[in-house]
Amino acid sequence: MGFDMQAIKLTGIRKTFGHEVAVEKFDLTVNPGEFVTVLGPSGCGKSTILRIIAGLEEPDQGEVLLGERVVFSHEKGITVVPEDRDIGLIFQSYALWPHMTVARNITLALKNSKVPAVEIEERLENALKMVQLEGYGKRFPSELSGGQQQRVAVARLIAMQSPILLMDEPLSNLDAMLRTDMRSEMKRLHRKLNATTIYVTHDQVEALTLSDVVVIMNDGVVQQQATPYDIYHHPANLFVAEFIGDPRINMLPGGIRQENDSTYIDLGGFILPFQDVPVLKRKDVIVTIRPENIELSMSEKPDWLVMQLDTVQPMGSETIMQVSIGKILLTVTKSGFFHMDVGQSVWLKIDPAYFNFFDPETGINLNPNKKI
Amino acid sequence: MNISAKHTFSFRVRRLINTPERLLAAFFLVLLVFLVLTPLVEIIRDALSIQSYDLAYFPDAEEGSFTLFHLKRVFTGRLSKALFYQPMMNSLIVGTGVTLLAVVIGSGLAWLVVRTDLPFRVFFGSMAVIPYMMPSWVLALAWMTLFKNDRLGGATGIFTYYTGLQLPDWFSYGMFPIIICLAMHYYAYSYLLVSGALMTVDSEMEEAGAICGLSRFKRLLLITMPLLLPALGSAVVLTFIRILGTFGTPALLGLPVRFYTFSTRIYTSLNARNAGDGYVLALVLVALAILFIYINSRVLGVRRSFVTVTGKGFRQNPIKLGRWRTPLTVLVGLFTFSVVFLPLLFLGWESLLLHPGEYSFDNFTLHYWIGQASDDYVHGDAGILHNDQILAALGNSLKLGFSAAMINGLLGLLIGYAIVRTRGSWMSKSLEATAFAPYIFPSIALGAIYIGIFSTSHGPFPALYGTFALLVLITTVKNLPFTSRTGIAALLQIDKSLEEAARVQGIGWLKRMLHIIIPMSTSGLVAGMLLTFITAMRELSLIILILTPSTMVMTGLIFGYQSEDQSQHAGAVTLILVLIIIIANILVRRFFGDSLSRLTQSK
Repeated sequence: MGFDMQAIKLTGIRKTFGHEVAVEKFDLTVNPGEFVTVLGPSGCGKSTILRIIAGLEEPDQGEVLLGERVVFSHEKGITVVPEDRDIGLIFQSYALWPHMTVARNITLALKNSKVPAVEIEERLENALKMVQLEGYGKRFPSELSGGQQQRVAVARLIAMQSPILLMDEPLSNLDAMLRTDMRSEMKRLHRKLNATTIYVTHDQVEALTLSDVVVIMNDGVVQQQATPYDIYHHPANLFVAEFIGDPRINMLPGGIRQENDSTYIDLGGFILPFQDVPVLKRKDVIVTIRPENIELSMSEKPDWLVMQLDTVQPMGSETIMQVSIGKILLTVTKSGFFHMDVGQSVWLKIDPAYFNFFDPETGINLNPNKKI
Repeated sequence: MNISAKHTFSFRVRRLINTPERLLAAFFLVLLVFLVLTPLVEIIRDALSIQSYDLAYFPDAEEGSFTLFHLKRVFTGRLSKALFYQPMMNSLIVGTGVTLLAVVIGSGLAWLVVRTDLPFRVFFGSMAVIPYMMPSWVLALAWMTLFKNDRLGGATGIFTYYTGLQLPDWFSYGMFPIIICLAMHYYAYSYLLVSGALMTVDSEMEEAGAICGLSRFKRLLLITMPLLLPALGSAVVLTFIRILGTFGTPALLGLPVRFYTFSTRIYTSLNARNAGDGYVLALVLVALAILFIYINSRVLGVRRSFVTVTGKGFRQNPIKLGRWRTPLTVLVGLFTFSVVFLPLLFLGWESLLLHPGEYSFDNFTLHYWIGQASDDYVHGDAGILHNDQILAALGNSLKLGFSAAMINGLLGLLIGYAIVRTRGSWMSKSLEATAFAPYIFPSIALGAIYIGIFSTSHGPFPALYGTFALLVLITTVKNLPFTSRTGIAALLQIDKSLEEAARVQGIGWLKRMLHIIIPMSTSGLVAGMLLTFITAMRELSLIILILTPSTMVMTGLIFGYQSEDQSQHAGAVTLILVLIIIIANILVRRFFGDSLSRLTQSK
């Protein structure tokens, strides 16, 4: 496809609604052709970012660049209206015009901008083909299923050939099965179109599977901006650590102790020895470990920790188990389908190499560059 | 970097062109404040200053100087009983009586039609709103045809003709027939409001009550009624305010026996060029209306949130009437027959009488329909089908109906758009409140106010008194509360993202309105326009004070014929008027489908 790839650059964006701060000190650079996901719980300001890029909201401060063009600058008094920004946007509700056929939904804007009729026809055919809706041009949106409506919205986007695509939770109104299918379709689409894309979602799976870069937001502030791998393995703070990963990451308060040349970490119910002691500024920390990084055995293993099995949730391909020792509760996942008696003993191997350490007061990762 | 001020300015202009909602809101706010609120200020001033008429009492005073003369005259003077206290008592009694009767009939009928297994309930339901389409005084005309006695001289009614008995005055004229006739018309409001609310009450709520062991009566009392309270409250207030401002029926049935209500007193005061008194009375009417709306919102405002449609599908199991089914069917059938068909039948009958008062077939003639002007007949007027005066009035009525409907449709769309798109700002709230303000002016009072203000020029508005434009203007303003609500409702149904999707694709404001907003709100707007058309066609109270011979409309003409005892003409013209309204209604419904019935219910 013939899109000119464009970079997106936001600097120092601040947006308030009344007294409520929606976005604060937001910086984002998206390289041409990159797929960036903005991820966060609802109300974190992620949709506001998208609307600011599209020009549907005007920030109070900061600057927005699309390609080489300044489309908003508080300082320079520049505000380019959305009509002039040449952006493709998919809404959560798809925003298909219900009184128009699929074809007219796709071509209205093209006709409006006086694209020659032959080319409109060509683009329409091509767009419908790309979303596998050939022959659906004469239908009305209400005659289509949710998934098909979503694809019409995508087709409308394709036909516009905008260099920048913005997507606001485009899959959130689909049922679980369809969402998985459409997810891979979105990924294929992006590869084909190669347009710079910002994708907003609250679904971590979408974020991790689709994007080159994930931006995690909370309360209007960026928590971490990194590759999916780094987001998962090196969370910048406790919010990110907890927000990413299903089942949720294990979090334990711990104290680091030095005894006779060896280092231990006291996790309340048990104490673990440390080999590679990271350079930490504090003695009391919050330790996290992902459920899949804990090994679990149903038969006794020497030197492994004995715990009691509390709940078992076989999911099919993996089984989620909750185990406890004293007041400490851990979640462990084990590949495969297991049926076990609740209350029985299990043996765990917890390798401190998988630990991330966080400051219990600020929640910041104390050793973010640690290799896991 | 330095960007010139001109540069910034061009961005601003571009933004204004693409999102003109604030500009629209500001424009309409200024316009409506002028059209709605300044008139009020104006008549307060007039009521408190010396009018040219008053110079007879105060030869030395200067016209326009401050005086409490009108207030004193109306409230404490020698004439105050006749001018104020008696009409007020009458208005309040009529208002209370009609409201009680109308709400009981309307909500009872609504319950039967919506919730029970009454046979033919779809038919009864569509018949129930027909009186709403007719002028409210059709029933008064029919009453006179049926029950006129010899008190006024001239011909008597059908009853006397066939029985030879003279009916007592209280039965033929005044309070009693006024209450009956108005109630038989205004029950339609309660019917529409309550049936709308009833449709949103999930019968599972009542069934839950049944499971808790409540009897059928207790369920109605403890579950259904409280849920309907907001609708009932609105019905009461709406009916009461309408009754306070209604002119036709009290004039037709009251004036002959010097039975005055507020509205007829304002009319006679202003007709006697005694504007000061009329304005004081009009102000009292406005104050009463505001008081009732205030009480309604205070008492019921908090509960309003009860009646919310969940949007989830729900079932409504019809309640079985059992042994009451047949008697209730007969009762509803009789009622429908006597409020919908009988009045028209009597008026038709009346229009065929060669000599008034003789209701036998020997006396039938089509003269009053198709005859030429001739001195052989009463008043010598030509039959209505080639009577220039009537054809002119018919033309005026249609012109008024169409132009008010068109203007209101456009205003409803733009005002609704401006209000919805600036939602949350003070401008949005004040525009909504101002557009709703004409609601508090009883029709006759608004007419009085508009005569006052438009007898001279104001700013961009020339002196409009005596022009057709004034009729259109006042009809438009009076219908604004409804059309702006329709507009708001229609716009609220269009999700903002539908417009934003067009914006990001480079489609400008005008194109968005044309391709997205207007097509999507058509059904709502057309319903609003149809209602404006109907209201304009049958309106009398609002414009009776403003009509002049050159701007005469059908309703005014009918009133004139009736006052001059030309009952055949009155009957015939009324029939034509009702026919036009019903045909317009059917045509519009045929073209725009039943999306309208939804809207009539939301009224």
